[in-house]
Amino acid sequence: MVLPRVIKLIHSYNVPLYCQLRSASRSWIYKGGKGIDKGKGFSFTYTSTPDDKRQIPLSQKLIPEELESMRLKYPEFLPSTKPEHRNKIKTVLEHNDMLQRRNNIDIPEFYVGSILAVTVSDPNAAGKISRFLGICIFREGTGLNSCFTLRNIVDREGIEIRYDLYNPTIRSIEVIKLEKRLDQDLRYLRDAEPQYSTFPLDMEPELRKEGAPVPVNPIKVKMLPLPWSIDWFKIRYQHQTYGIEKMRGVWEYYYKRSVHNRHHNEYEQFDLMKEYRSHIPEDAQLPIWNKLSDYEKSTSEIKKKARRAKMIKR
Amino acid sequence: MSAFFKNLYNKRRTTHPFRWWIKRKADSFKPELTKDNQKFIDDYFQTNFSTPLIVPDLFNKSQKVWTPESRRVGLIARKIGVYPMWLKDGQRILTTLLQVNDNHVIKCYNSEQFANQVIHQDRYRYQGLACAIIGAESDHFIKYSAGYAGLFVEAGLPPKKKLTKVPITDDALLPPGTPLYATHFRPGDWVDIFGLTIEHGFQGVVKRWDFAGGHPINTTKWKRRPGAIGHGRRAGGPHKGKKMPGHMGRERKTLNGVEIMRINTKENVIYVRGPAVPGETGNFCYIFDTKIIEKKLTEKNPPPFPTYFPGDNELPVDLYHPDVHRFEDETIQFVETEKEQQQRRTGAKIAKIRK
Repeated sequence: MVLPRVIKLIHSYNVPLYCQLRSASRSWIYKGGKGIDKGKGFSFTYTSTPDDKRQIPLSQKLIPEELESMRLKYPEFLPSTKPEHRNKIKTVLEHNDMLQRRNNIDIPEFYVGSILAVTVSDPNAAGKISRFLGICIFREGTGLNSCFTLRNIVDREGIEIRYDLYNPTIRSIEVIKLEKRLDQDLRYLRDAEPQYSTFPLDMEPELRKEGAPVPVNPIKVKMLPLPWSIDWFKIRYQHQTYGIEKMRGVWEYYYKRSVHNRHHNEYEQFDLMKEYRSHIPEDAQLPIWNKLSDYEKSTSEIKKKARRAKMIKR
Repeated sequence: MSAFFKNLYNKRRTTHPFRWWIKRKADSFKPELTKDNQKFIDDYFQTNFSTPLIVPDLFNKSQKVWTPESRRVGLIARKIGVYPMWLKDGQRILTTLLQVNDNHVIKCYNSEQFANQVIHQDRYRYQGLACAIIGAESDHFIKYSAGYAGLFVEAGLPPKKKLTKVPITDDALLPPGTPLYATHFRPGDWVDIFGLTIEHGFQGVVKRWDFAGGHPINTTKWKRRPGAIGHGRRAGGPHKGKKMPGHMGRERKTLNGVEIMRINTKENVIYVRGPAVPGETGNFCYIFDTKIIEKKLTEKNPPPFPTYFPGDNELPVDLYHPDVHRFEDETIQFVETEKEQQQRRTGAKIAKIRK
């Protein structure tokens, strides 16, 4: 039986991290616990045949390989997943505002799991400046609404601050350690042992080469005993939690439990229009990435000089 | 009984068109035409209807003197979306984007002409007022009936998707065919917005009226119910107007007193403070000057009257409210006063001594 060809285009927040290994345009959902444990990577959902032996070949990719990483580098430039809230004119106006803000501040690329330091001009703080350092737990929102949360433990007390990415009171965003974790959502660190989310506030930044691939930290976190504040397995965007160490008294199927992966009936997974509405097609993505790549080329030399000047000052 | 009459004349959600109005849509939506005939119609549409036939004369383009008694025309807009902006204090506000797309004046009536047209219920509301009919978003005439397309012949325009009737004074009359822009208003003005709210269908009492409900424990049936209705009106039954389940949303509502924060002159987009403009994204809404007395227009700062006419000098792309932080500007920095500096130093000294 030849099943229909399905192309799934995935929004960056709903993507498990291992999807980066292949191209974004192909279709897959993570199939149980098979793939990663055996080192095979992801398997296709509807057919397990490789690409060469397919009767119906997959269509050509619209997005070139150079721009594939833009989806993960600038996730806030994608319009919202809800089709009711999308509008073409609104996105154009919003992107113009975002790029104008990026001229004034150097917003670096960072991911969930990398360590950041943010300085903000605060009217209530002493000296009108406040600085905070922590691990990036979560990124959410689209456009000017996009924000990220930092977590750290100061004086045995957990502190989390959520910053708007395009807030004009932010003076600088420093990347102190650039790396990825196994999960896209690290909010379970609230119920983990405190050693995993404590960082000294005067931490020095790590040097890394330009253009080098971003390393993945395969650390597995040891959680505190149950009960937790929230059941982290249920709330997750991913289909499985990879970054939690397996616990005594918890069955294996409990780690894989997720609401988003579940279908109401057998035929819902073949509903192409439902997927088309909930995801953003490549035709809509390509002009955004082209515009951003042009912007990068025009401003890359200016930003390099500014970064070097900062390093020399230290 | 008062509630009964209120619903009769200002209907909540059902408005049937009057029987003397012209039928809107054409009977045959897809006429079977050959390619040559189709091409002929398209060419005819582009040559005759792409731009207004009758360009309004220059004598009406001069600005008139605005008085506090005069009323201007409004605009028809589409709600595009919501996104945040920041003030110069660092405060975050939400703004809704309203696009004014292809607005034209189609017809105007004097106060004498309009007095004959007014229906009996509105005779006091529109006393001594004139009227302008405004349309938005022109469309191909083949979709509409011949009678409906004939309304736009005088203005020399293709038929519009949306029409409204706006009561105005005799000063503010405009010739048919004049375009209306988003710069009819200015940033800093206060405005009323009218529209249909989001429809939710038949809803229970928890969602519709924010009742608390009960406890979903084991075998109780006390979960999302209203509870006792009560013996009101001398044990005759519940009170009139008791909050109960029913149809929720899609009501005709106005938001009074909304501030304009920014205007994009290129795309004709108005940025309005607050996310609570009625309707979903993509819905039509209508913008007028406020009726709130404290926020009304004054003689010191009169608006463009009867409308804004594009002059020789081009406006900048974005017009801002003075309180709004522009995204082009540098980051916000607060400066310490001398008092605060002294307090900070003394606080540090005291902390040293205590250690």
